[in-house]
Amino acid sequence: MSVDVQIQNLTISSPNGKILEKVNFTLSGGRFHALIGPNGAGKTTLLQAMLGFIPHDGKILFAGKTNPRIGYVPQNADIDRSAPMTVKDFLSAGITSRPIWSGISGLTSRSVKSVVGDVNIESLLAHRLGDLSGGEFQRVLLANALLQKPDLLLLDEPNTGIDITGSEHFCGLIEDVHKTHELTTLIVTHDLGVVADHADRVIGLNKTVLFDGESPDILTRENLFNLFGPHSAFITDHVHDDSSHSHPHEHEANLG
Amino acid sequence: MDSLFVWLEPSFMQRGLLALLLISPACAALGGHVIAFKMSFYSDAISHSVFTGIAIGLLLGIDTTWSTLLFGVLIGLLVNRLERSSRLSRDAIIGVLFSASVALGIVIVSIRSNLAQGFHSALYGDLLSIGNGDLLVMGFVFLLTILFEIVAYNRLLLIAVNEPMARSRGIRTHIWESLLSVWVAMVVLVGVRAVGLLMVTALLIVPAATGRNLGKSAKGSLFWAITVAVFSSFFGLAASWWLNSSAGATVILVSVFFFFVSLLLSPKRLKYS
Repeated sequence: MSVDVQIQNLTISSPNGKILEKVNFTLSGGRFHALIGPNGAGKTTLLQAMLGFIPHDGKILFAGKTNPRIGYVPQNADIDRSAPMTVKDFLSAGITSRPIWSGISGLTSRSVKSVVGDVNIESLLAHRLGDLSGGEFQRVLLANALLQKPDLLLLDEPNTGIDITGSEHFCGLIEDVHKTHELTTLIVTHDLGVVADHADRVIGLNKTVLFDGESPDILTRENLFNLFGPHSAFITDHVHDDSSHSHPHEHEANLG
Repeated sequence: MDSLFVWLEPSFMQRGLLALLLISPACAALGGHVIAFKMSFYSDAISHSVFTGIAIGLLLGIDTTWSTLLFGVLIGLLVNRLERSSRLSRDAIIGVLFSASVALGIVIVSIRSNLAQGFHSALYGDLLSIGNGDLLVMGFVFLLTILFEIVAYNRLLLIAVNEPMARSRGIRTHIWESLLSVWVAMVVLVGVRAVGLLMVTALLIVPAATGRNLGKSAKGSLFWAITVAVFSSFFGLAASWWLNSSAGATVILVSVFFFFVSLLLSPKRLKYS
């Protein structure tokens, strides 16, 4: 199911200048990658380019797949949950052409049920979207992405708006799902604790790739300072440098 | 018992009821999307363009049905086009086009004062003078709206929740949003014939909002919206007969009554932005 992704010399420009410049990195099949960087670094723009939403220079290559399936979990803040529909309605709407007001077929129901167990939302299927907590809704969005049977899973700051415990729980769930479904996963996050605990590999981005390596070793004081600038002083006291191995999550470092 | 239905004896009342039973469910179904996409101001702008569409039709000596339809759809397409090509918010663009359209109509009528006749029915609707041609158009729009709701419903639902997520699933969101705008324009323009340009947005919003209060699922909300639209049409038209009041406005008042009842019946829900 997983796919290798190569980003080669990716450049995206806007009338105000370059948003991304000569971005190069590789997502290895079946591995869990984290993309970190300050606000305005171009993280969401990079995801949009990978989804094919915006024109760009350079190449995005999916090894062995011409049309890879991409599961996408958007930022929680950009979602309208006021629509009158249940979790089952929402999940079904994405996988069937039959309008859900005419009922949900047995086949669609079975497809939905095949993923809800993976993200522990079996008991939420009849709940209205607007009645869910932030953490519950994130699990619904994850199930929605999984229903596409993706080769690549992209998550844009999925833990925004969830408390630290909920965020850690959710990221643990993502890691479980990532392993179960053998996905290539890329998560955009500000939470370095999440990165250190769950990611196999970390990419530091600020318009271009500043570092790219195995986690947590790549999260050195120097790299974080280069990425986040003086604002990283708070956490650089807590994360390890090249010679030590203290754990960033112990201090719940969060640059969000 | 027969006297209860005496209001249905005149053929103009039968045609009026049939017109309402065709256009109000179509409006109620589309109203769910209008609320989800925050298009009520857009609907107002389209309905008010009828005024100008009629003026242009009379000025050029062409059938006002066509001039109204073409001008209304043109305004709808212009809103979408400008929204993509300018930095202004949708609200601001609609506000500009709304004003421009009404001002143009007033200028035409003020120059050619003999055109002023015939606008009364556009303002308040003329349900009781509905002809067979109108019914045919309404029946056609009714059937097309069912088709639209079969093809577009799931896609629009996903786009309303999160546009990038919908796009990631291969939904061509701009096309579907444009199609929705054109569809709303078309239904509004036909609805104006029944209840008038001042009331047609209510025909879209009130039953759909009532459906949202009462229905827990997508299916339930649509069911309640259409049920309220049908019952409001029936009881509203009957009430207008007994009260000798404006048919369109009375239908809307009955649907507003159902809306307030739905507020009492609906469980308090957590409200998310």
